[in-house]
Amino acid sequence: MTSFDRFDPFEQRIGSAIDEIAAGGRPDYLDDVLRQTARTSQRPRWSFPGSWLPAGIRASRQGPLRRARLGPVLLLLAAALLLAALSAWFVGSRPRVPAPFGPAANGMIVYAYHGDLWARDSLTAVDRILVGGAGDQAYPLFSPDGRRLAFSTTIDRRELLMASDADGSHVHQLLPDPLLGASLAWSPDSSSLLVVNEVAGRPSLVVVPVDGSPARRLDLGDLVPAEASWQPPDGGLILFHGLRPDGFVDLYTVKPDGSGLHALGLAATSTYGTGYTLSGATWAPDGRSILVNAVGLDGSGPAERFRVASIAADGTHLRMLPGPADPKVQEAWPVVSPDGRSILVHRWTWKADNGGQGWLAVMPSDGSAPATDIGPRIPGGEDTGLMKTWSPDGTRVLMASGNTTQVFSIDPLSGLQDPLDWADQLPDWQRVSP
Amino acid sequence: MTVDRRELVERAGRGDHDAFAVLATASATRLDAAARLILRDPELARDAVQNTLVRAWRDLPGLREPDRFDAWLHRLLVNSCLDEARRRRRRPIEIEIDPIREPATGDTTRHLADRDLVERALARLDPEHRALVVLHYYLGYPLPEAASSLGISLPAAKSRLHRAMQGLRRSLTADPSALAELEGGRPA
Repeated sequence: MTSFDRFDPFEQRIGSAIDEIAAGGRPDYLDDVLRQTARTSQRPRWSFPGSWLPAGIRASRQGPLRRARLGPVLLLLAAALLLAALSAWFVGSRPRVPAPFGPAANGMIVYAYHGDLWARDSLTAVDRILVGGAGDQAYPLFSPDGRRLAFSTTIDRRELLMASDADGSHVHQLLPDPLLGASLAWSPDSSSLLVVNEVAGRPSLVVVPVDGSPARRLDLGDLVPAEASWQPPDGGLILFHGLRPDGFVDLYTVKPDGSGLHALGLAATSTYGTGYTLSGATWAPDGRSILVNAVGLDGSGPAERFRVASIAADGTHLRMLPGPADPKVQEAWPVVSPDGRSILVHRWTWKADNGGQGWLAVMPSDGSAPATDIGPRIPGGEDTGLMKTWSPDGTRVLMASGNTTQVFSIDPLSGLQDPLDWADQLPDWQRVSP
Repeated sequence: MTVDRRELVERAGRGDHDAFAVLATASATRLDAAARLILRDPELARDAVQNTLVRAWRDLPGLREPDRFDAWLHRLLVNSCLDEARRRRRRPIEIEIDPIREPATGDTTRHLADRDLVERALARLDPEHRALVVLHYYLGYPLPEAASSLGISLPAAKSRLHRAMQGLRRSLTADPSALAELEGGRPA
């Protein structure tokens, strides 16, 4: 007799009690569900809506050069020189800030420690407190220009969205509502935050200006948004993961003023659930393509597998990036390097496979080769809680593990890591002008 | 599975919505109960069942083994429930724990006491462990099949169930007399 035997009196009574707890009648919402299924089309077994071609580099297209008459060209050239001189004078009179995308120099590192935000100088390794005071400060996130910092403060069990200048001054609250399941993304011009947050019990997409102007909630109809980001280089579109009322998920774009809502037409689901299907969508730095988690059958075995796919910004040209050779290894949550040449991914094996592990890997963004493993392997499989980010200059990768509170700085080329014993959460690295 | 039921599954897979409605109606009570057990929240359970049935209808043409319809449906349900639980987990919610109530005692109320204690003990398990408990003890799947539904190995399922039962026992040790009663070690 094993400990799982149902004749164990304890387990027998448990079973009876569960039957009693579960007792109930026909659910009163069944008719609504059946009306919904009647409106839903059936389809063949789900598969990736695209080919499995190896990735290639997309050639850039340029229009043909035209011949022009010399006179107007010289005039235009003179005007351009004058404009350039004026621009140089104007820009030189202001503090230099990095471009919103692309490589930048490494500024200070900010991390949460015992309820305060601390700054660590990248060169001197000297720490100083940046934001302290009432409440628990956490989740620092620098703006792309490196001049502002968003973070959360928890006071009386309410987690609030805050912002400050990069030196920790001018701390102010951005949203009156507490954060619930929120995710944040800075606009490319560092003027606003895109916040997915629960408002009146429903996840909403909110654009929050950091200058104190009123926040704007975007009307997305029946869609439930998650994981939103701005399209590089100018934030002309917002990309988000949307759950439809019929249970399908898709990726959507919408303009920051709430107009032009558009589905990319990838509607899908998977046995892992809607929270994972088409999750992890992130823009390439040129704003032309999107990387996303693709969960499905890839021919490597009977189980659906996490892989990374690339699609054009309009939802076309879906292609799978080369996956791990070992079918037991899952790969997802891509992050593109600042120079756009590499993709950092999270790999793991399920806990069911001898406990499982989680680790990071880097692949060329043109999809010419599978990813190469880097850094340490963290036990715990899918529950390793890995978080990751690139340094602004792209020479280091920071990785934190939620279930071990270890933080590492990893060389993405050699894969060698240094433990950061002064941090126990993922720090954020300030972008500064090179 | 009876021939009639198999035929219903095949008809539903060919687009017969009336056939699907019969199947869904026959399964709904048990799906709803299982979802409530796993999620401990009737609204989330409703969402999970709704997702399950919509997915089932949409993906039925791809079901290769009509005889496995129930197991397939229950697998969809468990995955929907775990998905709802993960979505909920993204939010830093405070879990409200009911104040400890004195368990009812005495022969006439013993079942109520069992139910109350087990319900509170179940609430302390995480959704993955509850899913396994529900698959095994409520839906009646043998462990190998429950493991398959959850996409885990049999040793992992055994280990998870063992931990779940330990968790239940631990929760119940807050009231040793109730535990002894549940174990049959002492009359009420």
